[in-house]
Amino acid sequence: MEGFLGAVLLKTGVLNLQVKHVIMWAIGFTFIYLAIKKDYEPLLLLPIGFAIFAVNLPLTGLMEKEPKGLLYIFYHYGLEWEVVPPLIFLGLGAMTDFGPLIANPKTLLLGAAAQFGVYISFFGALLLGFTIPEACSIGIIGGADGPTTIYTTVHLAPHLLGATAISAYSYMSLVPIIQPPVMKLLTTQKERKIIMRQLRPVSRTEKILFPIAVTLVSCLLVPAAAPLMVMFMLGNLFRESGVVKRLSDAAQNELMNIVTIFLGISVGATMSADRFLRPQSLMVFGLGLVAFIFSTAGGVLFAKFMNLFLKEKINPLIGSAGVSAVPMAARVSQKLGAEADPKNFLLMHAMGPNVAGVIGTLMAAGFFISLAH
Amino acid sequence: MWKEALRIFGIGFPGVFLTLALLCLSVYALSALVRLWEKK
Repeated sequence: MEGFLGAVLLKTGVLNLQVKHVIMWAIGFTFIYLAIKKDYEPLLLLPIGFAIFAVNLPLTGLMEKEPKGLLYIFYHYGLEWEVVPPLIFLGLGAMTDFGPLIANPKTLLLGAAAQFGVYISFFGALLLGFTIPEACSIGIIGGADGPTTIYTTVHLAPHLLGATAISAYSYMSLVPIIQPPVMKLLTTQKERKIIMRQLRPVSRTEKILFPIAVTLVSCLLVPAAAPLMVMFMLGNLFRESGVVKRLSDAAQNELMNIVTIFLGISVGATMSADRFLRPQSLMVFGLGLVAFIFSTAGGVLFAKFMNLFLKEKINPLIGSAGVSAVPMAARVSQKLGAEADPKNFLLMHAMGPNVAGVIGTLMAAGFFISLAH
Repeated sequence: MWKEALRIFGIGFPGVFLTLALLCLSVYALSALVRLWEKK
């Protein structure tokens, strides 16, 4: 009888439970708490948190390669096969209005300048002993774009996926806390009061031709960014064409919701105790914060640099929106502008660099993948 | 390793700027053409 009970117990997870598993449960529960109580990126942190808890239940084999565990199947076909991030971009494209960017195309340069933190963090990671592919995956966190971070990490350093993805999404939700001190430090009150002229209306034809032109130029120059860029612009063409409302709605809602579930589960599933409980994970979080700060600074400082040559000055506060994190970063620009002068309405002006930041991060990721692979 | 890192930075960061600058010019050109066409 004793032998039988012993054999049964050995087959349960109870006897195989270790402290490291319990620590990971605590991390998973923290994400669930932050999602429910604090509303921090709940669409992702909730499934990620639960998947962390589930994958750290001993002997479940959820992330086993052979025989294939359920979460491994999601991860393998969703992320390793590069299916989920491009589908997320299809939905993002269908949700994005490029009107403010088309009305003021020079704000595209702010989206490029705000990639500064990506490269600062890249060098920081190398100094801390990470390899080049790992440093690229960590650096791209500074682009403040979750799906691009995931896509780059799966390509270059899949073992860091949990840490980079969590870092990107955590800091994206903390944009209203991270950015304002940097923006205030780098601008004067006079600069923050600059009022920008209302944007011109953009015609439907311009909006329809925009995704085609962007796909052509960007994919010819940076072919490695094509999977994400093509889907991003296709989604936008669905939206702007006005003739496939059903497809546009499906991409924005049903499809987006479905792939978000798979994205969250797959990312959380990579966070087993053995992979995540390492000093490197803490370093990734630290470097991610550095990347965000320097990207914000890059955007603001470049806006000030542009003002040296522009007759009609731009408010440097919109430069920080170049870090992507749509539309949170644009809202931060609006808030700080209105604090300086209640008549200042920067939201639409900041949406230009904000969506340019998404394109800029895609380009940075494309260069990383093609140069470091 | 540092030589490789500098190569990635030296191509990547200016590359991002160049790509977005070209996109900027393309959008200006596109808008100008569309507005010209719409006027006719």
